[in-house]
Amino acid sequence: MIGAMAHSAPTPRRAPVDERRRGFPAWIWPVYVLLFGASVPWYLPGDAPLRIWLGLPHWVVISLAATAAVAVFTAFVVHRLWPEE
Amino acid sequence: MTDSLGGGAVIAVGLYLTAILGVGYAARRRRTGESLADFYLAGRQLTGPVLLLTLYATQYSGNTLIGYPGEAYRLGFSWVMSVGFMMAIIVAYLLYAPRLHRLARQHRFVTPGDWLAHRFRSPALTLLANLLLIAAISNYLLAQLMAMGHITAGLSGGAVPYWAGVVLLTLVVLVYETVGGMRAVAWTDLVQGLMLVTGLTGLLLAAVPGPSHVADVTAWLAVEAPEKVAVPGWDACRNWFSTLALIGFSGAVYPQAVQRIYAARDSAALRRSFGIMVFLPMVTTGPVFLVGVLAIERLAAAGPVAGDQVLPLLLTEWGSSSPLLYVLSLIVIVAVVSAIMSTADSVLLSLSSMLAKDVLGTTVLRGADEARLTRAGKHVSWVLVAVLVGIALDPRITLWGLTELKMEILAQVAPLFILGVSWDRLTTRAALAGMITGTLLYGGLLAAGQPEPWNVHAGVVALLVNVAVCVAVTRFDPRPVRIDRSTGP
Repeated sequence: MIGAMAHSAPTPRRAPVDERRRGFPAWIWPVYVLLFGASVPWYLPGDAPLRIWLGLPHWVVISLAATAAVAVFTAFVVHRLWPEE
Repeated sequence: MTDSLGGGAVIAVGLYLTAILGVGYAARRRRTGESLADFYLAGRQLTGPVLLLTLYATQYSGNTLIGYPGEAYRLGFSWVMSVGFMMAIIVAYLLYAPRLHRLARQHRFVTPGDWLAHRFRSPALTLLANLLLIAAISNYLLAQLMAMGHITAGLSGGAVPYWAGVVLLTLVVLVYETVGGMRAVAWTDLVQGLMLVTGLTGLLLAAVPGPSHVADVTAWLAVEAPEKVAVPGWDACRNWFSTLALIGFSGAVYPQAVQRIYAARDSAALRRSFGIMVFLPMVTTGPVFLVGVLAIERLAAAGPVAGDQVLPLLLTEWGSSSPLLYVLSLIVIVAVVSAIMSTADSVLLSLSSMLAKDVLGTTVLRGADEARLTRAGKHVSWVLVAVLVGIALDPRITLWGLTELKMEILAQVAPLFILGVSWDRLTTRAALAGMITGTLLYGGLLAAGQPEPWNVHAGVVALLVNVAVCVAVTRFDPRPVRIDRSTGP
């Protein structure tokens, strides 16, 4: 299909309906894995001394920050990368 | 009710129930016919705040306000995972919702079974998946009915018995759901969603009396219950990852959520709803988590407390401490009742549609017109609820326990939606083999007394095997499915 298009008319500005992107771009999923991975404190030592940030244990604040990043990233994804109909 | 919450709670809940019945009646006047799409999908015209708040009120149930504080009370700060796993549901929607919405409008889907029949063209697969979905959400409905009883009995100190709460609130849901269908459910969800937000604000104000209170309790916990503030170990983290996967994938394929994806007026409405929904765990499960953690110190003098009783105890205590907290407690009570009813009505409607269209409509009522199926669905709702109320009157399991069971069953159906929509090559044989293997494995692990092998939910282990079977069988299937490119899978 791609080869045939290379020898024919110039690439159309919009792909035909059936060929348009039908899902989100693949690169968003590794980003989600990273963000959700950061929201679980598996990378912090279990015997780390308790530090209190904003009234909460530090690892809770880190987890909430990663979760907030998931929300912000998702807002970007749905508003900018939503698949066309 | 008790001396502390007394008649005020009865009046507040009574006013709320009256308002909800009025909204249900108003929705009935807007109906445009007796078609299945009009009754079960509000004519596919949900948009704006109604779509957002019906998704919201449906996703957050009585369990969110009653079961989750109990989990935070039991586990401590690691229950912060509840914010992430509710967000994971929205992320999982992105895997299939945009395309399924388009296909649903194109092919006039009403039930989740319509998608399965269209995609896989296998009555056996559709039947088995429907049975699993019906089993899972019947369980969910049962949890809501139990929550109705717990909240009334807990807040009244037993003056309003558990059974009376179950029966009264269920009756109200049945009435407005029967007269107005999805339109009534969505409109009442609008009111219930707003009540939920208001109640959560009240909850937070009541639980956090001063700016240093959270830090004080954290320091107290570090001394009195250090395991509840310590960084979770690798075992606990594995369970955390497992919960993210379990709730994310399962929550995204609730039949009632799938039907809201069908019911959205257009993709812009869906997009806007998801864009806001993803932030809502931070203002919903976030405050609830905090309240549960703070309750560890607050209820320390009361000795060990059952998870489901944490919020009722807190409300009763706040209600007796000051007039302001009394009013806030009333708001929270109405919010809890709203959360329970908004989920119960959506689940009931979904069950009714599946039983009427996918079960009766393909057997004893094959060939019946839509008006007759719609009427049959209403009758089925009443029978089903009568059975579930009977079971709810003899509860033997906690709300969170019921939620986990339901989620693990739903997880075995998730690949039919997520892989079915996003992976054209998935064959019917592979999907069926995966679902059967996953379900049997899950059942086997439970029967063997292994609900969480290696601290991973049995349902997640089964889901991994389910997906592996889907991939392997598709790869080696000599007769791959023929893809209809003009309409998608």
